[in-house]
Amino acid sequence: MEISYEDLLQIMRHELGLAASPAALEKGPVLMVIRLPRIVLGILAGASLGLSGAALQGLFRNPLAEPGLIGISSGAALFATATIVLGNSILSGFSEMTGYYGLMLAAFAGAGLCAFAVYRMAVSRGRAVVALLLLAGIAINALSGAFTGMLTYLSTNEQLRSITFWMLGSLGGASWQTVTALLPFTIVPLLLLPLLARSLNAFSLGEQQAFHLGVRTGRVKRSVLLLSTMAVGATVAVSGVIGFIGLVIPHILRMGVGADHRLILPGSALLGAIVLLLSDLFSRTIVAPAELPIGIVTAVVGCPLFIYIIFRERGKNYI
Amino acid sequence: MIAVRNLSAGKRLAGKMLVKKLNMQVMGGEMLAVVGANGAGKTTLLRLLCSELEPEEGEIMLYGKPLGAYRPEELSRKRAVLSQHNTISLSFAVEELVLMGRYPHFARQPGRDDMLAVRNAMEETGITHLRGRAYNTLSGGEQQRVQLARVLAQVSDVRGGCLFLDEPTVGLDLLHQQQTLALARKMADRGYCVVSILHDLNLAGRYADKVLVMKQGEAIAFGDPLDVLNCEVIHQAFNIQVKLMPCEDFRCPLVVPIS
Repeated sequence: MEISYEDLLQIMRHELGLAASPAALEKGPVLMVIRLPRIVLGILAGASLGLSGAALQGLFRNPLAEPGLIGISSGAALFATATIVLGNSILSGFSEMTGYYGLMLAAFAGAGLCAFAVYRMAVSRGRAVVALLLLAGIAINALSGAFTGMLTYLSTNEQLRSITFWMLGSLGGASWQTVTALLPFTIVPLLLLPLLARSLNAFSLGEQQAFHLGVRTGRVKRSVLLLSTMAVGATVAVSGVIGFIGLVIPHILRMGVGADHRLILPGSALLGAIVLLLSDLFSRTIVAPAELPIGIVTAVVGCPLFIYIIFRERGKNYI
Repeated sequence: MIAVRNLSAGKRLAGKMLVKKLNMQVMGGEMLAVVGANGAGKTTLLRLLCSELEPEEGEIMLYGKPLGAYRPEELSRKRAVLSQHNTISLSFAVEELVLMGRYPHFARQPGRDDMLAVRNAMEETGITHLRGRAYNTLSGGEQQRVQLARVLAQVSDVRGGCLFLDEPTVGLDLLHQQQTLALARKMADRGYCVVSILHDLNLAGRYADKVLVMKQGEAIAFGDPLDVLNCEVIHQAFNIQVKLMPCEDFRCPLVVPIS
């Protein structure tokens, strides 16, 4: 359904109780119940992915870091797949209890559990070793990938379709309920992560150097990991795995404004939201009335951009 | 001022003590050079002094207070550390990087004194002309000087602060080696307490007030370079025969390896 700017104004007036109009009665619900929550969801999800990606790249001192690296996405995928495949058999109790939200709850739990496992493995003598975090992340990702593969192998055709669609991501599940469920998990990281900008700048000098500058390195590591897991875990739970936003957005910004996290962190949230909204617009209009999974759009746009960045930075010896 | 009593550490980290029962003292206005063969425990000592590692025995006092009693923020406003390896992961502009040295001193926006400290530090290290360059496009020696500027900026307006330098001359050309140590000397003369690991004994003899010679974690000599840097001590520490050649322009004789 097409909603013109005029309709939009009428609907707004109608919703504010200023004037009643027939067009608003007809098109109002489409905007208010279907499209608006989807837009809000896109903003929250895009901002969370962009911001977490930027913060994790800063923490890991690695331009290839992204939220998926510490097991968030693969953990969510494993638990979501388990819910889809085993929902009618072993996990039927869980499915009955949680109903519509079962998949989201499972995905969020999986994201949190795997990220926590990665963190625990990387702690040595009470300190999280960043290089170990990377290795543990790879190991956990591979392991959950294997289990996910096993469940996929066991799945029926219909389940396989659900799994595939979930893995490709979509904002199609948006409703005010999902937005309300997502809000607390994303708003806290969105407000708190930018406060760590200076600490992350200092981290780029090295962890020891950051400590010499008075940064409480342990606290910064725990905060970034916890807040990113919260934001991305909740996002993945609601919208499935949406790749490349967390990886590419901070890079695009750095080409424009430099490396300072005081600009990069809020900027990545903003740009992430914008890009995800545009991708969603594209994904639901290009093959209308069907929808292209949004993960395909972000990857198809994101990969060439990323390759372009690699080519551009190749001579500068820091990737 | 720094006082180290009976300091041992390393067992937890490496399975054996890397620093053993070490005693020494550096006052404000003094520059201490720590010398010794590779693996003698110099860097471990420095890491202990800047609170990166905790002593397993003995104690370190900073201005009469145990080092462990300082909070990290408090410490960062008293002492600055130039580490040996400085690779950065993101490309900051030189001036931004030097400004990071001022992070302990301002909450949101740098004040006028912060910018002044940054400008002075860049002038003193001769990198003002590089201020807008991206750090990763600089040569190794230039990068080293940018890091030095950051470290200087951190404590430049701290009265009687401490400066820890881990091999500050590595990778520098002849001129900048001299300039770096002259700068360290100047900081000491301004009342700072400077501790620097050095490999070049002649540089140590020329710029330091005190020399600490380490071997296998122990201090085998500590004191005025004129007394400490003699043939026996050097042979014991480095297992090499040297000749001391008096030179009229310097207080200490030059150390020349002969075998």
